[in-house]
Amino acid sequence: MKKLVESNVVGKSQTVRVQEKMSGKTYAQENASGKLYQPADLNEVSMRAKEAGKRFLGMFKKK
Amino acid sequence: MIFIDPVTDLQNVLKFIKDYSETVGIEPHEIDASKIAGIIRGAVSDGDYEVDKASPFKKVASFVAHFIAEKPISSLFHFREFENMENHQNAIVALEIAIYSLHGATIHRDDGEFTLSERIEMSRHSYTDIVNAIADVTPARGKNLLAVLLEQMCYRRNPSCEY
Repeated sequence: MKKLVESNVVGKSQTVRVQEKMSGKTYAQENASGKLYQPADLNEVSMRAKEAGKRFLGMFKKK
Repeated sequence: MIFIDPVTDLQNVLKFIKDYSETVGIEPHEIDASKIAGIIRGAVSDGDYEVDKASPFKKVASFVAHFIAEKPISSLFHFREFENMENHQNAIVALEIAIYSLHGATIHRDDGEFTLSERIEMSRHSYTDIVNAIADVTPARGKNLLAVLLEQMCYRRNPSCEY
């Protein structure tokens, strides 16, 4: 999230707009952690694999 | 599906590839299972993305990069959009495993735990472009960009999870 603020860093009579960082919501992926989805069993893997295959076939037609 | 333990990961990935390939219509016997085991070992032990601390996006990007670089699937997808795209089959399957693995993944932030409840969605055009863009990714080249791409695609569908 950024906010535009007024500044005269270029010259006394010339006002320019600069961006000021307003919050801690910056790139900080290194501080994150998490878990990938864990299926209950192989049947669930199979079900999702078939669904993914059907979605692919819905987008692309075989030659 | 992955980053559970080496045996479960291998079973899950092989099952996914087999059933996905059969549904799409490619030959599952042209899949090198021994390479899959190596890919899992490589992704889990990736020094850049220590398993316990890495974000789910980095974990899955590591898997995808190892998968695409190792090329475990030799069967081509006979679809017009991919006919001139080298290594498209491995990029497609790796991308599908990434989408699967991130659907329902959890993110731990300072203010709590969040679930990526919505699956990544994209248009046919974007899908083709992404497969083309990632088809030559390796663990040493393109992995970080892949992690950011997957992260942003997830946040597009799960905006409340962004940080």
